Amino acid sequence: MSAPLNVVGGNFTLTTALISSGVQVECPFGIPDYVELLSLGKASDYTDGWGEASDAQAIQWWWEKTLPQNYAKGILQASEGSTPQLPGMSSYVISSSGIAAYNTANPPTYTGLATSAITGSTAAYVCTMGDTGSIQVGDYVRIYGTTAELQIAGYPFQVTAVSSGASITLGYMATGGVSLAADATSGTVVKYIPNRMYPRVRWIANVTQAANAVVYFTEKHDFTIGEIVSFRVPSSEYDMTELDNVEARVISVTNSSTESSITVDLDTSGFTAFDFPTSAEAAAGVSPAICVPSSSGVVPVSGTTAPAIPVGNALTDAYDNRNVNLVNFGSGLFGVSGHASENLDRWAYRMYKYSGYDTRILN
Amino acid sequence: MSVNLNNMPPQIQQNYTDKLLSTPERNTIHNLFASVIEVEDNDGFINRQSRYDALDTFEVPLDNTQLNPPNQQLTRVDVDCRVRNYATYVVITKQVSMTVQDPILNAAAARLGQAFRETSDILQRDNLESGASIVNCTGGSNGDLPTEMTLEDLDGIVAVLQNNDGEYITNMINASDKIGTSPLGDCYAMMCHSRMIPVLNGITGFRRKFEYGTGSIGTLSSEWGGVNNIRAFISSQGSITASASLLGDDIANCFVSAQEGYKVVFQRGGTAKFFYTPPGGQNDPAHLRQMCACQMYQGQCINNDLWVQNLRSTGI
Repeated sequence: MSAPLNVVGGNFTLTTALISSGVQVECPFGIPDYVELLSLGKASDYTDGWGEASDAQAIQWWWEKTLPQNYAKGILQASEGSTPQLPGMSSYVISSSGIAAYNTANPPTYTGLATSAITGSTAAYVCTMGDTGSIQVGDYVRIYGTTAELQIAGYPFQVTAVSSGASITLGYMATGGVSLAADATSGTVVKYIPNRMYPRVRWIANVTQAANAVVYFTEKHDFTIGEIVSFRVPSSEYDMTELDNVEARVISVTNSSTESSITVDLDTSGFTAFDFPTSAEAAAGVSPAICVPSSSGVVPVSGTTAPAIPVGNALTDAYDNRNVNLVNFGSGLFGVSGHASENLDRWAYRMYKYSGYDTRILN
Repeated sequence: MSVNLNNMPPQIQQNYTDKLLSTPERNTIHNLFASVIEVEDNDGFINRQSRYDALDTFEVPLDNTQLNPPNQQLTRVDVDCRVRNYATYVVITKQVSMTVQDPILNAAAARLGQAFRETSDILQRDNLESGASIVNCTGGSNGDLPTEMTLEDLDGIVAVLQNNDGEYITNMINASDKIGTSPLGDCYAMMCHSRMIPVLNGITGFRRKFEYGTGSIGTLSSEWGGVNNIRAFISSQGSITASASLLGDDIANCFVSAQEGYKVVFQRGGTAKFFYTPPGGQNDPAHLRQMCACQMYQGQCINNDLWVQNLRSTGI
């Protein structure tokens, strides 16, 4: 008799950022059939979390493969402070930003959501939305049908802030600093989960004119120090056409919560200033300015062009298939109104796979 | 109640023909034009190939002082590719193998082989989708960005690859005196989704492969046709990016490659293998389960970013 189940588990500690973005955990045996999440409370206090006095909160969540993606069912614990401390528990279900299980090579798809304004004219890139759906901080979105801002239609972006049911912010684009002539007055935002084949092309949000140019992207990048990248600016409407087909070595990288950029050993101070096409030019047809991975170069001392000692090439930029099976614990689990989780709360997860070897359980 | 034609038991009504019906199999096109590298076992898992950069040309003559000119620095770049391990398997219970009339193990082996081929192809497709340069079709008239593909777009991508000194993959197809045929130039290969067929057929001057000077002799079933210096290969698992155009329509990623533009890396001891595990063993004392599995090693990589272009088209 084989073991009926594959099980893996672990725990994680919430931060303020993770409460907004949710938590992703890899599942090594494929997409699990059943996922469970239990509140442990804070590490400093073992009476915290499950059974905690006077603190309403969610204490358990679960998802089973017959539930839709991003659903979760669970238990909410009421605030209760008497002795003995017997808080009431309520069953609860959420239908978005709950638990999702998928592999990144074949991820679920999402329907588009309407936006009524995108503030490109101030370079803030805040999308006003009556419904933000399951979009969380860190999610990837694509925008299309953007009235008056066609130059960013079809662009991929990563979300840096979400005001649920009100707006999302495309902060990496904003940090690039390029403003557009007018705001979009309508459009559609569609969330997507990117394939993790590595390395990946990145769409350029801006390029500085400097002795060592800084190249900004619309989403986080995975270029590494020492990597050789090449630029494509096939359409003259992006102005810095001197950059087209030029190779450069990455000498430093930034991937913060608001900035995605690389600094390269390329002097662009004499180049024409980078700019986006106008909306009308985009409608007439352009190809995007992009940065493509090219090859592996000698790793420099960070921020300089001098080779690091010992001299060598990094292997971290090798072409690779980095797709994984993922369980996404969405921000909705940690933000139930009146029952929200707190910074430093710990959660334990367990993921089960009904064994394919035992058909009784499989069926 | 008497038995008649209207109430015969199913067992009487039924017969079984043991010739199996075909399983749909996708064209596997994305590794067709890849350089193939096989790495030795016990020699790491990241394959490295290097390319020396061209030296500057030297058009100025030496003068009569016969001084040596300045030397040039010979430089090279490395392209690294990690090989990964993939596997899947099928469990067949005793009850199934004792009950089913058809050769189920044969069927399982065939389906595993198909899954391997299609997986290998998808890995390369995703690699090209991830890392290839992007060029939008803009010559069409559907009002989208990219537009539907046109002859102008295909000639444009040929010019890009020629400007990048990419070598053609196939030689010219000569003209013949057969009615309805035409010659075709030296060609780059374009790999695209079968949803592109109506777009391809609408391109000015596009020739289906039966219009080649040689007819379709020597062509693959996945080849759809060509024009000027592009030959198009199609598959139902070609690359599509959903809702990605200016108007929110699906985009077909059509990969156009020059020779040695990209590669597939296999491991000598890890080429695709079929494994059969008979019933029995520690976990199956009653001999109730047999298994067949497929396992392989593969890496994929763009050799030269100038020689692989993702020509994006809508209209599909």
